[in-house]
Amino acid sequence: MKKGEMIMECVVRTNGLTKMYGKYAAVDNVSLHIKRGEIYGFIGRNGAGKTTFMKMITGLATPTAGEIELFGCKGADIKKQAHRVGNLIEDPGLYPQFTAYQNLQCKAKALGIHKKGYIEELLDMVGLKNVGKKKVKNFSLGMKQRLGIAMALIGGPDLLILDEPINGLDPQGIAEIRDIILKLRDEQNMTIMISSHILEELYKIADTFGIINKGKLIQELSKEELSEKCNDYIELRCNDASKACPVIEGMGIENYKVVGSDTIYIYEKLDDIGSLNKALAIADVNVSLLNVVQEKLENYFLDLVGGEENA
Amino acid sequence: MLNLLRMNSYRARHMVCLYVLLAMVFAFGILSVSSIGMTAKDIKNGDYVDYDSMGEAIEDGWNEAEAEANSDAYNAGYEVGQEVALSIGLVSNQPIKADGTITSYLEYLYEDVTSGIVLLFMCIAMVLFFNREHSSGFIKNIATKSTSRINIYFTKFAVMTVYMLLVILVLAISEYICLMVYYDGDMVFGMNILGDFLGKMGIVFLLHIAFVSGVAMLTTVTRSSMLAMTIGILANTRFTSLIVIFVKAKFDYDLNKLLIMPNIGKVNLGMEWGDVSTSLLVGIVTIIVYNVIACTVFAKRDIA
Repeated sequence: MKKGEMIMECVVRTNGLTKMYGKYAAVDNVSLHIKRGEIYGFIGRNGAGKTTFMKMITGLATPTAGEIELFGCKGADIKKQAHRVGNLIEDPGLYPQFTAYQNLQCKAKALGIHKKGYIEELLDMVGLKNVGKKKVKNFSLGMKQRLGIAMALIGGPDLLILDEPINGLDPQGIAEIRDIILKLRDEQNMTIMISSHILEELYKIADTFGIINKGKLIQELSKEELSEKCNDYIELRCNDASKACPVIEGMGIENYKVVGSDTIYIYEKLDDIGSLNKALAIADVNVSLLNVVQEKLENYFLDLVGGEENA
Repeated sequence: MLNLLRMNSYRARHMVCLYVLLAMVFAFGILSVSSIGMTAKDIKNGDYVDYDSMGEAIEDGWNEAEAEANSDAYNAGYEVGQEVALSIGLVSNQPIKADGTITSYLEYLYEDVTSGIVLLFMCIAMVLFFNREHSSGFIKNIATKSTSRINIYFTKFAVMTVYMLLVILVLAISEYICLMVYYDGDMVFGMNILGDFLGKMGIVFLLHIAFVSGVAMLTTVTRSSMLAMTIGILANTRFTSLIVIFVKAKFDYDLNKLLIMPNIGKVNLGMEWGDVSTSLLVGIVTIIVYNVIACTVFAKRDIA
């Protein structure tokens, strides 16, 4: 792949992006990249800097330092690409006295879109086809969120920035939003950046994760890498890990990790722990601990963030 | 910019509160005409002298001419030569002028436009229109990198300027209809002063734009509709006279020359054009200053 193609593979790239409010760094030297066609999950606690970061990407806030590259463009050239970004930042910005149609029509006119049936198509896409003349102030939270997504989709953006779109929704509402997001990625090859602190939900849809805490990007990892870190595994503690490895491989297990001289994490055959124990005993490996550990994504995140606090 | 104009026009056409304000302006026109003290029949017949009140006025020391011309005013308990003022500085029109001629439709309209009430409605409309985009959060949908913030501001302002014209038009229609009914179709239009009326009304309209520029600026800078509306209403009701008195006493300078409301009151029909040039300049400079401040703040500031 040529250099230009590699660069264009990244829809968003930031380099040392910083936002200061007085002496407080809301976003502190964040460098991340979002590939074309992926769903990027942005994880962080309340007040971590997710919303501020997203506002800088969309132009709603001015960075104090650092650089943003959008579709390969930097600096003043970004304005040429800015129309390709749709956003839903914090709560959906909707006129409560207007209907769903009127709200979308306002933005459509601002973008110079006059195509007949365009608004109806968008409303149908987000499941709000039959709201009629109901005013937005009478919408449920889920309906408002869906309308907010429809608002972000006006103009057919290539990049969608969604800031906590599932906040406050019931399980059905969350499932509906999830379906919409996956459909956009799969059918329209849209690149989506979505932030949330509901980790389990984000895990279901995101391809890459960025974890931010106190304005700093702590980690950026793919779903596979996160899976490895968060999967259930067998924790084996013995007197000699090097003696246990051939036994493990002899059982056909390839996915394991030696984490110390006496500890091994095994990611396969979790339901056959008895056979493993027997094989180790036959090989004269002295086992002090052998059990299945269930690592929750939440625990992983809390450990990560807690580790930063304690550092 | 054209797209933003279309959007703001669409928004204004669908805002119910703006129609409510227009209805209130129409009602104000009716109220204003209904506050005329004597019956149309008396005016038509020339029989508008209340001789009993005239007698009382003469006893109280008025001269005969004043008493005759202002018998209705005296009867209502107002002093000769003073404006009939309601508690917020409005003027109630007198159907007969001091020289004995009947007040024309254009004069009625001019007095009401410059009274301050119409400006009050314009302030409210301006604040509601400007602030709703921010308070609802809709601004996040359009104030991205692809759209100039200055264009966002000015297109809103342009649409509201058209609305202000509509306010005056509605008042004009309301008073025309009411006066036609009041005078039984025999209203004096005032064609002889039409040219002067249009010219002075243009300057007054410019001063109105200058005033609401300040309100729009306050709304944008403070992001508070309540604060902007309060200051607008206080300025409209000449609360600033306290500051004027202070400056006059302390620095011997008449601040009224630079303030919008006194300049609106200063521009009268029949006034020489040279005398209104200062008011025109004040209006233009004020519009520029307020809008530059508002645009600078809006362009630089992060969208909350």
